[in-house]
Formats: sequence, structure tokens, C-alpha cells
Amino acid sequence: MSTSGNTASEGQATLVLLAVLCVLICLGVIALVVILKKKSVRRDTFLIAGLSDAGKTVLYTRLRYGKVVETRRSMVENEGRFPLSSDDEDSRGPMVHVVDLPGHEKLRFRFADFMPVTRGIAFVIDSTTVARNVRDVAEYLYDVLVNPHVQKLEIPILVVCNKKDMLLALNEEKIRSLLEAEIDRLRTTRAAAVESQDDDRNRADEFLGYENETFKFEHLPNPMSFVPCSLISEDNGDGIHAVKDFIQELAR
Amino acid sequence: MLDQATVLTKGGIVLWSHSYTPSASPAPIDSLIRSVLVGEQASARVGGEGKGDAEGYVKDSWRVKWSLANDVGVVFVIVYQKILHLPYTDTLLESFHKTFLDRYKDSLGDERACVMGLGEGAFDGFEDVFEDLVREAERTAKRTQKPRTFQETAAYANTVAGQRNEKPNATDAKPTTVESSIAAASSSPPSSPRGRGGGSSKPAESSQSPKMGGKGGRGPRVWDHGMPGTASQEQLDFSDTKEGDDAVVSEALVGTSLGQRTADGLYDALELDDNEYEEEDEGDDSSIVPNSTDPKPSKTGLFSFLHNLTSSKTLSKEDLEPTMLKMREHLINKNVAAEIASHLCDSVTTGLVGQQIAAFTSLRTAVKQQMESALKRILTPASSTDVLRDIFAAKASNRPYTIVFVGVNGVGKSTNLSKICFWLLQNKLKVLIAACDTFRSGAVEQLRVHARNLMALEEGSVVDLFDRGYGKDPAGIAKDAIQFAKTNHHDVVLIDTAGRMQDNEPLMRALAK
Repeated sequence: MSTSGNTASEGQATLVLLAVLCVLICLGVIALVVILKKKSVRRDTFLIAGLSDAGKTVLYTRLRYGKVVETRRSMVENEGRFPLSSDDEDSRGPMVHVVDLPGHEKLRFRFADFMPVTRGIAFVIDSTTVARNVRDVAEYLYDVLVNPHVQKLEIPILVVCNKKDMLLALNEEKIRSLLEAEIDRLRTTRAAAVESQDDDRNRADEFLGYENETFKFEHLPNPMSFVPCSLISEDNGDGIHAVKDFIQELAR
Repeated sequence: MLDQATVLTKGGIVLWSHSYTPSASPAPIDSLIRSVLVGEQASARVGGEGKGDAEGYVKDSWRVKWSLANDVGVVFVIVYQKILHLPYTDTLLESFHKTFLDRYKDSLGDERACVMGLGEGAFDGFEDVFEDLVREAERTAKRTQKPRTFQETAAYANTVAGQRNEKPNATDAKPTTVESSIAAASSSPPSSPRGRGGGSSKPAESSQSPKMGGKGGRGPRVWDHGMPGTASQEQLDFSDTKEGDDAVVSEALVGTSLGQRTADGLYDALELDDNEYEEEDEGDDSSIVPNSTDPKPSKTGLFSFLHNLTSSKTLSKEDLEPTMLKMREHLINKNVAAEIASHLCDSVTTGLVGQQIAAFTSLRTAVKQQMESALKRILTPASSTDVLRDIFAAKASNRPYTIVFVGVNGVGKSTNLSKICFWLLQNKLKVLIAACDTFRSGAVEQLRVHARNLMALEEGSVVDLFDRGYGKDPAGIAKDAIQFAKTNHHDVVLIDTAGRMQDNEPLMRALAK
């Protein structure tokens, strides 16, 4: 009797041990799955941003469909996941996710929603009106540069100076220096700005560039490049090539 | 007579456009999108259903009318000259909307098909269809503009023949009067000098017929030598004496709100319970009801709840109605003006009608999301709020930067003025405070104390006070203050005004000066 009692209790002990082991294995599997899922949030989005009337929707349709369409102001963002069409017709490029944000002042802030998954940003500027609107352009560019994700992940930015075929277009060197001067002024005023209600980011961390030198885009950790182009002309000029190369390189 | 007609996606791609003038500029459409559809300009959105009201949106010399199709994300726009008065544009817009959707509904859902089709001219055949629609709309409008026959006027109804014919035709008259009143209402704008009399006589006529029948029951008034006779006192007494004077029992009056009596015999009112507020939230989830046109049979209780939760359905106005009503009431209870609350609810409804909500989203969440985005849009400033940048720009052009503090009485204008003054001083700017509050006693002294303390806070800070005592014209003082700042090289002028309510017209007019 005692032996059977012993085996019974032993049997119970092994059963309990088995149950505990099962639970541990389950927990381990769940933890592994969770960790893997977190790692697999791939950043594969490319944003097209810029002021209204810069040519962002035209750029989007050219990238996606390869044709130039007539456009008006966008009210909602155009979003698409598609393989990037390259020059030779047979090979299709990698799949990219491109988002074209509306340029309206009230909708611009939406770029912050896409920031955690952004791989690269194409900032489109209208070369003909940039001299007049340099404050608005610089402010938008500043907001993009100062975003904590952009700073932390060093997201590369390609500045597309559109409409270079028009008479009044400035060349990209001039645009670059205009923007640098404006951002130089902006960073001091923004750093001294009054704290807003839901702002718990430390404004001192956002200071772009080096303090005692005038601001230059080279001071930023993000790789920045300026490329002039004309998105409406049908031929595959350098501009659209540059954008495609930019995206392709990053999508790899 | 139209200038342009366009169909574009919400993302900005033009699907089909036709312009009747050689130089069609994109300005009115861009302006429409900028101010109304995104900028939520209230004046142009009266009318609901995603359409402009009878007046549409006016920009320069054009009038713009539009219609939204939320399920495919498409906007239909018609532009014509403001001075023309075209009565058929509303019907044209509706038929335009419907015909285009019917014709191209297969390709509209897919953006790729649309854009690729654009190059091949997929939408080109629509021009002839559109011309037909315009002609049809013009013809319908002309038909309703025909002058009425004598039989239809009020003068006929007053003749003997008209009276004789009216009573037996009372039931027949109803449908025709509704139709003709709609026709009258739609045709009254172009024939306004005549129409005002005509349009108002039509509904009056339809209301006269039941009234005549009713008066017959009361009998004609009796006049005794030109004065109302005394015998007709009972006839003239229309008060309701049938109900007795029984006092209503107090139970029904007070009911469950009756408080308690304490030991001393004093009456203790009932305390407010916080449980009332929680019930509101539970009640909302019951508003997920299946769409009445849903052909699926209703399942058993538990599974129908799951089905509602997981299936995605298209929203219609009736589905949204109860939720929007609750939302509007809630806003008004929280002291939002009634007009603004209804405008906000209308814009949320327009944005949601026809959309499909994803699975696992309740109606309430969808409405909340839409409301959040609408509020974010309204509250996002359209221009930059970088004050320091503006001040430096003004400094560069050698003029002082002015900030005027306005608000209702007692919100903290003078206090915030001194706080902002402190911030400006920290940024090494020279400030002039103009005391234009000449109404409240002690306002000038308050500012003097603030200025003195601020000056004492830091070495080398420049804060001056500009005042002209009490009772003077504030606008004049402000003008002099700005002049003074210019000559003495102050960077910023802070103007403090008296508190005023926004509906106090003379004070608001003074502020405009």
C-alpha cells in the first residue's frame, strides 16, 4: 500500500512538473513572438512633403504610374504600395510604400503620424516662388528636421527643386543658401519660444547644427541633397531619375 | 452658360474636366478646396449633404457648387459666373453626380485603373453625356417657370366657382399643392418680383382650405349693429372648460425626486447621484443597429451583436442621426454655441456618409475619429505662430510690432500682458505698454505697477507705459502709442483693451477702429 501511495504521489509530482513546464514553454513562445513582431516593424515608407502647389501629387503619379496627370490641391493623402518602375521595362524594382501628403497648412502636421515608419523624405519646393515664400518653406522644413524621429534615425532628405523649366526658377545653390539663412534665424526664435500646452520635448535638444556657427545643411547628421527637376516635362530627365535612385537605394 | 465642370479625386487627381471658356483658371477650384473643404469656412456650408447651399461658394467673379461622393473619394464641382442666376445648377449637379458614378463605378474604386485610364481617354466619352445633362436640366427648369393658370391663383380661390370646387377636391388638392409648392419654391428666385407674391400665395392657399373647413364648424361671426353682440360671449369663449380643476397629485409631480425628512422634521433635498453619467456611455453602444436595407436575415441575439461588431457596413445618414444628435447635445451642454455645434456635426456627417467603417470599429469610434480630425483641422493655425520671427521681421523694416489683447471681461488680459512682456524682455526686446483700457477704474495704475516691477527685475530692460488717463478714445491712444514707439525705437507695443462681450455691437465696432 505504501509503495502504491508513493507512486501515486510521485505521479502527482511529475504531473505538476509537466504542467509547469508546459506553461513555461507557452510563455516563452509568446514572448518570442512578441519580440519578433516588434523587430519586424519595418520602416519602408517614403514621404512626399512640401508646400501647396509644389508638385507633390504629380511626383506621386509619375512614380506610381509613370504618367503625368493634371492635378489640383489634395484634400487627403495619396498612399500606395507598388513596385518602383525602372527604366528597363522587364525588371520591376522593389516594393515601396509612398505617401503624398497634402500641403495645406491645416493638414501638414500629418507628417508626424508617419514618422516612425519613414525611410526617406522627398521635400518638393516650387523654385519659382521660393523667394517669396522662403519663410513658409523654411518653417515646414524646420518642423520636419526637428521631429525627434528624423533626428534620432537620421532619415535622409532629398530636396526636389521643381519647376526648373520656368523662367523665374532659382537654381538649387541659391535655394540652398536662402533656406540655410532662414533656418539659422528660425532656430534661435524657436528655441526661445513660449512652451505650448502638450509639449514635453526639450527644446534645447532640437537645436539644429552647431551653436556658434551659421547654420549649414552639412552640419546635420541626416544626408541631404538638392536636385533640380521639372516634373511636368514628359521625358525622363535627371530629376525623376534622382528621385527614383534615392528611393531605390533606401529601399534596399 | 457654365464655365467649368470638373471631377477630381480627393487626392487631387483630375479625372474629367470640361471648360466652356478658353481660359479656364484652376483658381476657383483651388480656392474652394482651400477655404471650404479643408478650411471649414462656415458661411459656405449651410445646406448639409455635402453640397453648398443655394448660394454656393463665391470667389472673385465665380460661383462654385460642389458635391462629395465619400465612398469613392471623389468631388464634383461646377463653376459659373456669379452674376448669372442659373436655377438648374442644383439638379444638374445631382444628375452629374449620379450619372458619372453609374457610368464609371467599376473603375472608380480602383485608383490605378482611373489614372491609367486617363491617358487612354477612359473618361472622354462623358462630354456628350454632360451636354445632354445640361440640356435636360435647362429644359426642366424652363418647364417649371411657366406662368400659372388663373385656376391656380388665390384670386380664383376667392371667387364663388373656386369655393365650390375646393371642398370636394380637398383630398386631391394635397398632392398637387405639394408639387406645385416645390415648383414654386424652385422657380421663385428667377421671378422674384412676381414670385414673392406667387410663391407665398401657394402655401397660403393650401393652408387656407383646411382653415375654411374648420371655420365652418365655428359658424360665422355675428355683428350686432357693428359691435360684437353680447350673446356671442359664449361663442367667443374658446377656453377649454372640459377638463376639471382637479389638482394633479403631488406624486406625479415630484415622484422619485422627493427628498427625505430628517429627524427634526426639516426637508433634506435629494443628492445628485454620479451614476447618471455612466448610463450615457452604455446607451450609445446600442446605436449599432443593422442598416435597414441590409438584406441579411437577423441572426440570434448573441451572434447579431458579433456580426454587427465585425462586419463592415456603409454608413448612411439615418445611421448617423442618433449619434450626431447626442454629440450635438453634448457640445451645447458644454457651452459651445448652437450654430457652431450644428456646423461641426454637419461637417462630420458629410465626411462620414457613404464611407465604409472597418470591421471591429463601432459607430461611435468612427464618429469620434472623424470629429477629432475635424477639430484638429479647425484648430490648426493656418499661418505660423512664431511671434519672435515676426518681431525680428518688423524690426528689420523699422516699424514696431503691435500686439492687441482682446477678450471678454475678466479672462486675464492685463495679467497675461505682463507675462508676455516678461518673456519679451528676456529676449532682449524693448517694450512699450499702451493703456487703452480707459473704462475700468485702476486699469492704468495696474499696468504702471507691472511696468515698474518688470523694469526692476532685470538690468537694462526697457519697459515704458503710455497712457492718457481715463475716459478718452482708446483707438486714438493706440495710434499715438504706435507713433511714440516708432520715434523712440521700441520693438514691441502691447495694447491692453477693456473687456467686451462679442455680441456687444457698439464696443466691437470701436475695436475695429
